[in-house]
Amino acid sequence: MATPFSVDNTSFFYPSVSSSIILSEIVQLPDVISFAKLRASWAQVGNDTNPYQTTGAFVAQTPVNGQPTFSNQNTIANPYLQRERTSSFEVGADIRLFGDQLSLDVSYYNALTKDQILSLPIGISSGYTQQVVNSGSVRSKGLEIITGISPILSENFKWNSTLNFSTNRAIVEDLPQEDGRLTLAYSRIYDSQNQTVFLQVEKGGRVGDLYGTGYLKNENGDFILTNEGRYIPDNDLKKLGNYNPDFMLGFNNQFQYKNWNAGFLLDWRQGGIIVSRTRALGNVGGQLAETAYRPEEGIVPKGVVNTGTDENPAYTPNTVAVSAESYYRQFYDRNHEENNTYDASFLKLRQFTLGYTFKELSIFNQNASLNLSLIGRNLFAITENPHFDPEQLALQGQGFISGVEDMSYATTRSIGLKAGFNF
Amino acid sequence: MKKLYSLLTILILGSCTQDFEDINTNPNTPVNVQPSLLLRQVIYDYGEQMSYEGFTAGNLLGQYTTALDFNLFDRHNLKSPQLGGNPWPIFYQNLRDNEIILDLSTDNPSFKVYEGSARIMKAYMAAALTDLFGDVPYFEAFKGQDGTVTPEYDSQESIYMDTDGIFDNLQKGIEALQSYNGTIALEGDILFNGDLDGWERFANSLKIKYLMRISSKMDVSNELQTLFSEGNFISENSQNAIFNFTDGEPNNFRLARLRIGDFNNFVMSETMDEILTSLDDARISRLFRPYSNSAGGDEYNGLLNGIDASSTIVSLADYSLAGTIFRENTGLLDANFMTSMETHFLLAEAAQRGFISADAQNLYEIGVNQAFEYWQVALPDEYLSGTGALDNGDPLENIITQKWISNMINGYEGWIEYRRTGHPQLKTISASLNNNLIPVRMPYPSEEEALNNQNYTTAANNTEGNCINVKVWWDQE
Repeated sequence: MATPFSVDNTSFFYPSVSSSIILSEIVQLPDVISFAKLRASWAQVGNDTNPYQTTGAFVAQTPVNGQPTFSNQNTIANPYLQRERTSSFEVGADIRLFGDQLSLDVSYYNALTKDQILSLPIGISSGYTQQVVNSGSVRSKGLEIITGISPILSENFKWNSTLNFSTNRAIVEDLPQEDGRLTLAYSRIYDSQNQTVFLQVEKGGRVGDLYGTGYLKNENGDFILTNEGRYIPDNDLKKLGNYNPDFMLGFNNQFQYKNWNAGFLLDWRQGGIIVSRTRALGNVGGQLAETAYRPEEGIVPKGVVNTGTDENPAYTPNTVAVSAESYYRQFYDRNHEENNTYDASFLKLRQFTLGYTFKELSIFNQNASLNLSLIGRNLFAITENPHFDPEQLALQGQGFISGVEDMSYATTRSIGLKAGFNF
Repeated sequence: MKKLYSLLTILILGSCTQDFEDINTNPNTPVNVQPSLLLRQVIYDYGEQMSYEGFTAGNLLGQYTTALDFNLFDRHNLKSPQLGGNPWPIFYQNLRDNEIILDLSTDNPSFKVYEGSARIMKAYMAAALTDLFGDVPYFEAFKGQDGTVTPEYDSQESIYMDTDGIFDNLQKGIEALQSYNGTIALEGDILFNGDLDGWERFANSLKIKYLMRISSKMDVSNELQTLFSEGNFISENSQNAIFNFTDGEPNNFRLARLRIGDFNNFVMSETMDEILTSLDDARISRLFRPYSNSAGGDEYNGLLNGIDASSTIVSLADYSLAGTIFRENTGLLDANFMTSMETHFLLAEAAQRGFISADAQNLYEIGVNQAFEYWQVALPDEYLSGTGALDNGDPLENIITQKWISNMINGYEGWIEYRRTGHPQLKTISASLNNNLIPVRMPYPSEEEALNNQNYTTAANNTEGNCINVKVWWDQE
């Protein structure tokens, strides 16, 4: 990439081939198939990056008694940065049946991105917090299916329906390091090392794996408690899950009956996790209904107590109660993300519309129509954690971190009235 | 139309190869900078951040104050800092900027004047870093731009004793100051306003401090005696290595800017209460305020550190908040790097222990006088002959305790010196998360485990798994 000092690495080469066959025009197909097309393509593209990644700079800080101060930037710039390269192939089919009343568009892609331009977090002991590098390769595979159905297309009643399915897996094939995990980003509060969710990848692992800390468990997955019924912090990072969904499915329907029209869009997301800090704080503070159970005699935390030795542990179920206040404070303590991790799957009524069209109006002697619609967005969602929208992101510095919800503002539900004139 | 497109393409390509220098240089940020701008930044940022650390974390470990809630750190779970308590990045960021000053001063003859102060600041920050954590990345560290981004950990002994270590940089800094004969003045120096003699005294006071710190590891008496005899250390308050906070933004003390809830989370510690009360010490009214429920409105009360906020209910009105100097009147407050009072208490200790031949009582009394002056409290006539007399109890304990009081919000100094001397006797805290032990080092941050794993693992193995109860080198028997 061009830098103030060199024009090396400025040439990008973009080869690509693509082809398609319209089967329905070559061979005789059964009558139900009105159109069939197969396509395949291969391409290699180069990506560059945001400006000013190739040279460092100094950043103005708080003035002292009106006099300026400067500090070096926290990112190590890279004057030797090269473009990242993605080679991808895609195959697909576009098939329409029953006189276009049923359509099916399927594509599968497989892309390998090499020499990715990454802003990697590095330890501040190096003097810096990030480094811009070309490194690693990621294979991304996915399947997308779009189905359009128009079951009823009569004069007075029309029904159009679309199903939109997508799934993607991004697997890390190579890392700049020999072994261990590479931290791509993190979400942190209070500069606290424990209150940090790390987005890390390992060779063969999936992009989007989140790591954090939790409480000590035995090999059966039971919490190991102290004799006083308290959880024991386990400060080793453990995998909390992956924030990416297994698949997404959108279901869109449009109805028209005479002058009335209606429609709804359902979104289903299956899989993925989200760490909720709102939930952690709300539960610690006793502000959520989930922590309303506060018996006088306290709560017996579920877990086991080691009655054996460290070398030969013997686990017996815990029977010691702790005060409810203490229990919730510990269990949901935001230092330990594991207990504040939720399934991010949801089913959402993303949009609902209901409208009426006044036809053949005469405005300024023009033939016109007016459509009045009531539109509701984000009307309701079914998900494991009812307190916030699982599509929320956390803000860290200037970037967004997926899979972490950090005291985010609530997403809005909106209901509006739309008037559309047609001349 | 097609012709137009190809014409456009050529034009764009042409401009790409000609103006790339402008395109790739951010017009809003400079690529090079004068060392004076960095020096002002390093001194201010370090002083501001460590004073804030002192108030929010150092004060808790040193038992000057205690936190009412969000207090896992005060309960000695040092891996869970809340406000403050994670000083690691403060050191490395400022050591990095300071290293740029040092490089500029040795590369460019017109910046030669910056070498002395840069070396002294490097020694000062390196010592504060290793005194907290023990072995840390140092010789390979904070040079990520040219060197490694995964620096090795160096032993505390080598950081103190080796070439480019603490003592070496203090000595080379003094030599650079003494040999400087240029006419270009030191700018951006908010500690001494460009007075190179001030830096030399600062360096000598630091030598005294660090010699005392390693005094259980080696015989330091000859060097201390020489430093004392030459007398070129900080010896009056006007020579202190400090800068003033202001009353208004942006250079006021940070606790003046934070919401009141953050300030009100810190109250006087029982340890502090007992010490100031037994000394009948007038400074209590400067450092703290009477508690709201006090009957006469003039009584002070401290709370034992480290309460379990989930089982203990305390009322803020029953305990003394920190004084107005830390919030309403921060124009009276200083960011403290090194002072005359601290130097005198160190010398008094050296005399008391027999490292130097000097009058311990005289040095102690100078220190106490200057400490009252520093905190802007009149020294009562009978103090030094009564409760505050050197021989009112164990003299060594009295020297260190007086130094402890005077060093409030000076980073983690009170706790560091407690680790070395055992004074003043800190209390077992209320609901310890560290088996009722007072920690003797800070834990490495977990980002080191994640981002500098191989070197971290070696360092963690040397500290029984990054344990806060493993003593640093100068603290070991």
